Amino acid sequence: MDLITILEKTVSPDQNELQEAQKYLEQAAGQNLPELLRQLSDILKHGGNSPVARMQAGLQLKNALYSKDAAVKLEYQTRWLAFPEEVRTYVKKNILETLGTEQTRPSSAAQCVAYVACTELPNGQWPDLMAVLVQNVTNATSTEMMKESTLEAIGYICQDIDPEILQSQSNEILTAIVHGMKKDEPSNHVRLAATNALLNSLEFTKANFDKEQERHFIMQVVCEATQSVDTQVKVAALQCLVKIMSLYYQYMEHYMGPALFAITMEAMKSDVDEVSLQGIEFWSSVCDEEVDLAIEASEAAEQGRPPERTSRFYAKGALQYLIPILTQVLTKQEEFDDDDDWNPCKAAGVCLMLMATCCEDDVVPLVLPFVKDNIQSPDWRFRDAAVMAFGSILEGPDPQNLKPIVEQAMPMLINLLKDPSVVVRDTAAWTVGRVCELLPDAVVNEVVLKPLLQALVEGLQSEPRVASNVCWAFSSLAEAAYESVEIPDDAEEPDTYPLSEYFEAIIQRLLETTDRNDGSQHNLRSAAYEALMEMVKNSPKDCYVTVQKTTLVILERLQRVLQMEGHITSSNDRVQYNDLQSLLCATLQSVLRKVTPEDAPHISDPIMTALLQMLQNSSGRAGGVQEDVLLAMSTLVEVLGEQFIKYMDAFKPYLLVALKNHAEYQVCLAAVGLTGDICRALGNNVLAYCDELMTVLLENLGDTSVHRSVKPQILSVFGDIALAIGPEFKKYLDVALGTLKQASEAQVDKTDYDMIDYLNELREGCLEAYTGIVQGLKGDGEQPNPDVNLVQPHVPHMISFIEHIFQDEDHTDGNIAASSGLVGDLVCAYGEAILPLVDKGAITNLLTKGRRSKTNKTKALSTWATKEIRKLKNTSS
Amino acid sequence: MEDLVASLAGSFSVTSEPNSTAAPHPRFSQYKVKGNVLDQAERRKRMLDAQKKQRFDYLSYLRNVAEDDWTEDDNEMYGEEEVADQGFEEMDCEVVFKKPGRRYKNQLMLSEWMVEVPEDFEKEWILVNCPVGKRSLVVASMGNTRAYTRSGYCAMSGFPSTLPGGNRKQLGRNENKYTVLDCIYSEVQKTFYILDIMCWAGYPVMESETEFRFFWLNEKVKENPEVTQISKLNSYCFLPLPYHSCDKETISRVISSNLTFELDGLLFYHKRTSYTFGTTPLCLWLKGYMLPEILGIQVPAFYMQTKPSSYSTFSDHILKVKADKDRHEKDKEKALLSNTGHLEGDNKKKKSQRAKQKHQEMEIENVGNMEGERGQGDNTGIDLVKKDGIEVDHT
Repeated sequence: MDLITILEKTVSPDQNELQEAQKYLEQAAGQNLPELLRQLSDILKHGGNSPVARMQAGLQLKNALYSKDAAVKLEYQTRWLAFPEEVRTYVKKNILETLGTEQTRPSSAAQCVAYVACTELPNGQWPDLMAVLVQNVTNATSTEMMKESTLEAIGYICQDIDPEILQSQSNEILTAIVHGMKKDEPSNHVRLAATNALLNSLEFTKANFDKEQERHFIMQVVCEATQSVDTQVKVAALQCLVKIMSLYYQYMEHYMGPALFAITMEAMKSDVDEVSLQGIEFWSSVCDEEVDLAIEASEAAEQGRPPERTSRFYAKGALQYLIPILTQVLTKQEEFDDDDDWNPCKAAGVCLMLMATCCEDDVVPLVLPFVKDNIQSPDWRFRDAAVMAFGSILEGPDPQNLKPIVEQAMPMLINLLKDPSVVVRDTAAWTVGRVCELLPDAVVNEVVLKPLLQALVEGLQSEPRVASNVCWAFSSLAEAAYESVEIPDDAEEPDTYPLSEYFEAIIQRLLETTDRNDGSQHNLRSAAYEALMEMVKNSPKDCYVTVQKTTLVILERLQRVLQMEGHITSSNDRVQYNDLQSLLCATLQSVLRKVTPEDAPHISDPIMTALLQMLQNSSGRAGGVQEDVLLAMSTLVEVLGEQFIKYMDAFKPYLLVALKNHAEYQVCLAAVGLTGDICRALGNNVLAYCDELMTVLLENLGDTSVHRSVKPQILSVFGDIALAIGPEFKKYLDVALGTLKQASEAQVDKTDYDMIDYLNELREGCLEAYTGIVQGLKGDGEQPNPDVNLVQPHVPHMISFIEHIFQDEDHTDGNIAASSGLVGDLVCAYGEAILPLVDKGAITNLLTKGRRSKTNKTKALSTWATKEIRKLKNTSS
Repeated sequence: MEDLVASLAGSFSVTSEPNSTAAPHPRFSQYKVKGNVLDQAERRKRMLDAQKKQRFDYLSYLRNVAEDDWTEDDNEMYGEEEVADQGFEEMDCEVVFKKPGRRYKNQLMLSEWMVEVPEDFEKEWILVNCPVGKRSLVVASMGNTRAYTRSGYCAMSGFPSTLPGGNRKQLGRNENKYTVLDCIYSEVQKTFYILDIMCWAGYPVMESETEFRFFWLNEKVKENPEVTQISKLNSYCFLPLPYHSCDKETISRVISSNLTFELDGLLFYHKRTSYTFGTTPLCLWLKGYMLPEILGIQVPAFYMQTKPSSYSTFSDHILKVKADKDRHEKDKEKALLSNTGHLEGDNKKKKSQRAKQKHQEMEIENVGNMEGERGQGDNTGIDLVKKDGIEVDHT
């Protein structure tokens, strides 16, 4: 069988033939991949072959060059570069010559060219490629197919390659693209390919945008392309405008009035959804940009300098023209809306919200007339649009101005919670939720609260989407009501609050809602549990009896849910079962935090039993559940304090398992945090468990399969352990200090932001560990415990570590805080002996920076450390 | 099989197409968005934050650096109070530490015995009658008032006072206001007698001279008469102690007049000293019965009756206290040296301290405290007295 036949079989409906083809190709690749690629490029190029064979040859070729997996991709690229020069030249010549000869769309050759280019261009190879591609497009004799496939290749290259590599060639690339986009280009295929290529190239054509003439030219072709009768070209050109707006905002003044404003307004009004969406998106982007600029301006004002870029307030200027269009689009709801569909109606809602954030008070008088005119319309579409418009402008304008308007609207909104249309009920519930979150004063008052609660409780029985919004409203309402009352001088919580008389009923209804059969729709069950948690969290003293009852209900549900374990068959049931366990653990956390220290020991036994059983059942299956169990355990530890000791023997095996769970690092992370909590709660009593805990923690640090985000936390927990067991930490001192020295010398790739963040976390972990060890060994007696002197040989390293952090310009405020704290600790522990180490430039500068920090914690620590140094200098001078 | 089909996929739409209008829209998450949703990620974040905060709070406690940093002269200290406050606001569950707090250790200005009468005594010194009671550092901040002993132990926590910063009603209005006073607390009279002032309503006066501080204190109390009365928002009276010039006539008159409280002793402040921490030769102390001997001023008979039986003359008394102190120092050094060989630095420090404190040699303990009220904590305490002897702590 020859290769062509094989390739044709790769699209066979017969599975045996498919497998046969696959096997053949794999073997050929294994025996001699360069040769296979040569042959594939021959088949691709040869016009006499069947379109299927050519296309499949291109696909196989491309698959040998590209993978979605970044690591595999890199491997393929390295492999390609290692092929003999003549093979690569041969293949490149073939694929380049294939451009324009194919009869299928999209071009296979274009992708092959693009992926070879993405491999070779960054390595300074294939230098004449761009010239050939530009020639392909600009040559008057080039065919439509030639131009189109070449522009596609350019588009793919621009999309995948690091923009920096193409910057030097941006002129050639733009020449080709603009040539293809021009309005006298007869083929829409060519114009579309060119416009898509432009969209991908905008990031690295800054130099061209900086030049006025070139900018004018680019803008001209883009604007012309938005007027194309071909929808795809029009949409692609509008997408270009959206991206240009956010990338080159500062240059847009010249085009805004004469062109962009009219083009995008027209687009918004279009009956074609794709076009309308891009028109709306343009103005959403303008709002995003201008909100950023407003923040930048206020930051600059704070620092007493002019901002680098200024807002031109396009959104404010266009507001009066945009609002009528947006509200009109809001009335184009689909009756049976698929939640996953993005459509102009939803886009208009988001745009209106952004407009309100951006233009603040200006938006109110323009939107209110629409709301008033339509909120009682017989047509549900108009009622819904009116409520949606109202809900969208609640954030941005001055709350003082909104408050009377919202108060006036509340009776209407409450009525709309019972509207015959579910769409209207949903939007009304969302709007009420927003009011509760953003303008709680307007509802937590004697006039509104009672009828509102009545309507909300009824709303809990409405459709899941409505009820889910109602739950959210309860969450916000609970917090607002709690904050509306004063906490007495001698208490931690208020005696009562406005929801007290309804509290038990609301809790009851929320509990019922969590049990609804349709609770998995629209996140209703989660929303109901979350509301429950917020209600409990924000409850005053006179609701404690209900909190107690709720605790028992949650506990009883936990026990019941554990009995279901054996009856789960489908994977869907399993997901719901796990979610339920997570939610119950989270709710348990919130009730535990409310339980009085006297009550806690009475319920801790059954809680502990349930949590342990959950850990046992879920091990290896549901990391999410385990994590929530461990978080609940942390709360239990906090509440019980040293009384937790009685569970330690039973819990320890599970803790160790969780600490060793490298695959699900969130579980491991929660277990590490919990270890710290246990140390704080048990103090010296944790000593008996420390050998095992330290062993696992140290193993984790050295294990590359442990997710890196866990490691800084482990270092911090070293500090917690040292603080808990004090001088007993001596036995771990050598290994701990050795590990810390290593960790404090870690280096990362500074071009990777994630790695910079990681390094800073790691450093903070080291600093917290050092602090814990110094404080722990020093003890809290009047005089430092002599054991602290065991650490003294490491002090110079700690100080140079701190200096190193300070000199690293990427350090965080948290780094400064922890560094300052450690400086202060060292001074307190070693006194005059280390004064020369800390009373010098770098450390002084660090502390000065800390004292000027915006963060109170940083300020406090560096001020304290400065004071300690000063005290020391005063006594020694 | 699915993999196989995928690897041979007939279509070329393998590249991700970020520009596709069909892809889930990036703004989808903004549509009918709900604020503050408590999903697992949020719960995880909250727990991590809480743990970080607890670690910080615990360390702050160990470092004595909660809301107390009124000694900083950069005028940046209000920040700390916010820290401490947030620590409590955000924590759903207050962490209770078992060990007594030592936040405010060594923050009081302490006197020395008046070994000889200073040359400028009559002109440059101020007399304050000191009542019997517990020496307390009163800190009113973030809506709460606390009293700390000389060793930093928080003796009375969390009561309201009408001092600026001292009760919750003031929150918001007086957000960053705080007040720090040096007081003697009389349990019987439910009164804090104010000896000295460090800070009023966020305005520090520690750097000012004694005369000004005393004047300022009296002015502020006059402006805020409610602090002198017990009320719902003021659990105890705060009364400034009267101050007098140091000529013999005045001292005689004052010591013979009827006091509203039981006199513990007499404090003499140098007019030009700022408020400093620890013992200072610019603040001196005498018991009532010592007046005839040192100042040649007669005192009412009942003061003489308070003289302890072991007391012979003032110079004997001073020698005795000094000997006690030296012995104690030596014992302590010995104990430390036998524990470890790493103490060279510490010893050097002690030696240099002793050398430079030449004029402080006489710095000693309050006899009344030693003999009469041992174990009660620090009385009008000049220094902390422990059962096993005298502990000297200059730091």
